[in-house]
Parts: sequence; structure tokens; C-alpha cells
Amino acid sequence: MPPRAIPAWPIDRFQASTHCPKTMEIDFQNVRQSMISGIPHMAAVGLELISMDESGLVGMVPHRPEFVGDPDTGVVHGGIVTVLLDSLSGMCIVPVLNEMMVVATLDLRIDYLKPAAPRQDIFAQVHCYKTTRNIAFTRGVAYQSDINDPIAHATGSFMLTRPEKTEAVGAAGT
Amino acid sequence: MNGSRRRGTSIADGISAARQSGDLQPLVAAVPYFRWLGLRIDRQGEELITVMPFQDMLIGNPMLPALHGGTTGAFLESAAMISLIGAMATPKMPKIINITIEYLRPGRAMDSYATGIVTKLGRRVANVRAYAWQQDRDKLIATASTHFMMADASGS
Repeated sequence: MPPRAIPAWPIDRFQASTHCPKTMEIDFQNVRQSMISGIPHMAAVGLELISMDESGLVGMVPHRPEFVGDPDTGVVHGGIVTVLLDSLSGMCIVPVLNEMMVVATLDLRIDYLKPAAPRQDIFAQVHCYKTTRNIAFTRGVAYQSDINDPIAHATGSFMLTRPEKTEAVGAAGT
Repeated sequence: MNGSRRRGTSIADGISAARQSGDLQPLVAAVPYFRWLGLRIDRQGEELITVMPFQDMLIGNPMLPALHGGTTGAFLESAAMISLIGAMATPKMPKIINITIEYLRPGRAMDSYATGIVTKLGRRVANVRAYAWQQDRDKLIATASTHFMMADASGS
């Protein structure tokens, strides 16, 4: 079967900056370091942040034998893709907010577009394309060698809460 | 080809043996990611409950503390797949098409439980709803709806 042309990932049509206020300055190196050392599960999967700009947040999970979901093929379990996309979806919201808010996931949908190639790292690029007073909307893709030939697509929605309100309620997401 | 085919037979045998004995634990042992999460299966009558024992490395928010949302999603996906294998007539590894995870409460630093309900077991596609909770089954921490492609439908 001849390879079909796949349309480019249309990030330019939904620049985060045109739909979101983007006024917070984020120290990317600081976020990167504190995430790795401060969040046990991200450290456990070896998640790395690669870059962050108006087109979104790019991160990576390295291939490890213990992440395999199908021992017959050596393909990574979808759960690892979920962890990567969930992490980046939540984190890509913070830089486009006016003020520091607590971000809690409402829902996350992942479409698995094709099987991941075995023994290869998985990358993802996710961006926040719209925020309202209470909700942020994100979307992104996971890919291996080519972002225009993604292995998975994710859309997420997130509840935004001011930190003082969260303390009164007791926890994010309740 | 020969080598991969031999390995392919072994996972099918694993599923087959697991189904015959009613014990899906060997299946969990055969999947490295399930082992890494420490999953185990608790059969309660007709129901297959997947257990994810708490580990520090599952934490995504050390302040609350709360489980990482991604691990909760991965856990629901795993539980849906395990319940589906339990309901299937033939031993095949279903492939996930998509999953929608709804987060209801933060997952606390304790053991988590999940079960999947196969809402439709079609010839090519299966729909599975999955539910996760911790100490109180009436207080779900997250739910998911999933679609799986049954492995050998038209060979892909």
C-alpha cells in the first residue's frame, strides 16, 4: 500500500497565545528540574521536558523493558502514553494563565492512532488552545520519529481553581 | 518470524490457561507493565477486580498527596482489558482503540481497585466501562469508557 500523505499537525491554527491571555513568566529550567525531582511518578517513568513555547510543551518518556504491554511484539503499554499525555496536558496550561491556579483534570480522551514501534522513546507535544474563567482545554499528540505521523492523539479539559479556594474545599478535583 | 511466532503462541497459551483455571494472575505476570504497576487480580464470584497496591512511585502530587492522573488512567485501561479478556470466548490480546478517562476525586496514597463492565462484546469491537475506587466503592475516584479492537478481526 502506498504511503498516504498525512496533513501536518495544525498547531498554527490554534496558537495558544491568541485564545489564552499568557501573561505568566515561567522559568522553564526550574519547572523541568522540580518536576523530575519533586513528582515521584514522573521520576519513575523518566519523563523529561524538552521545550516549552507558544506552540506547546514537548516531553519524552524513554523506552524501558518494564513498560512493555504486549510481550509478543515488545510494544509499550498504552498506560505509558497516558501518563506522558496526562502530565504534559496539565503542565502546558500553567504558562498561559494570568495567575497561579490549581489545575485538576476533568477528563482526558486518548485515541490510539497506530501501534508504537517497539524499543523507541515516545515524545509528545501538547498545548492549551483555550481557557475560560474556570476551564482549560488542551490537545496534543504522542509520536516517535515523526510528529506528523502520531501514535496517539489526546484532548483534555481541566478545572481551574484559585489556590486559596482549594485550601477551603480541601482538595483539587472534589 | 519463527521466534516471534513462538512467543505469540505463548501469550495466547497464557491467556488460555488463565481462562481455564479461572485465574488471570499468570496473564498479569506475562505483561511487564502490569508487573511494574504491581497489579493483581481478585476474583469475586463473576467479577474480576484489578488491584493496584499503593507504591510511593505512583504519586503525582506530593502535596496532597495524590496518585498521578496518568497512573489512574493506565490502571483503568488495564482493568478494562483484564475484564474483557475474562469475558472473551477465545484467548486473544485485545488492542485498545481509545479511552476517555473522567476524574472524579483525587486518588489517595492507598490501594486502588477497579473493575470493567463489558457493555458490548462485538465480533470486531468491544466496549468496556471501567470504574476505580479506593476504600469506599460508592466513592469512585475515576471512570473510563474504552473501545477495544478484537485481535484477529481481518488480521489487523
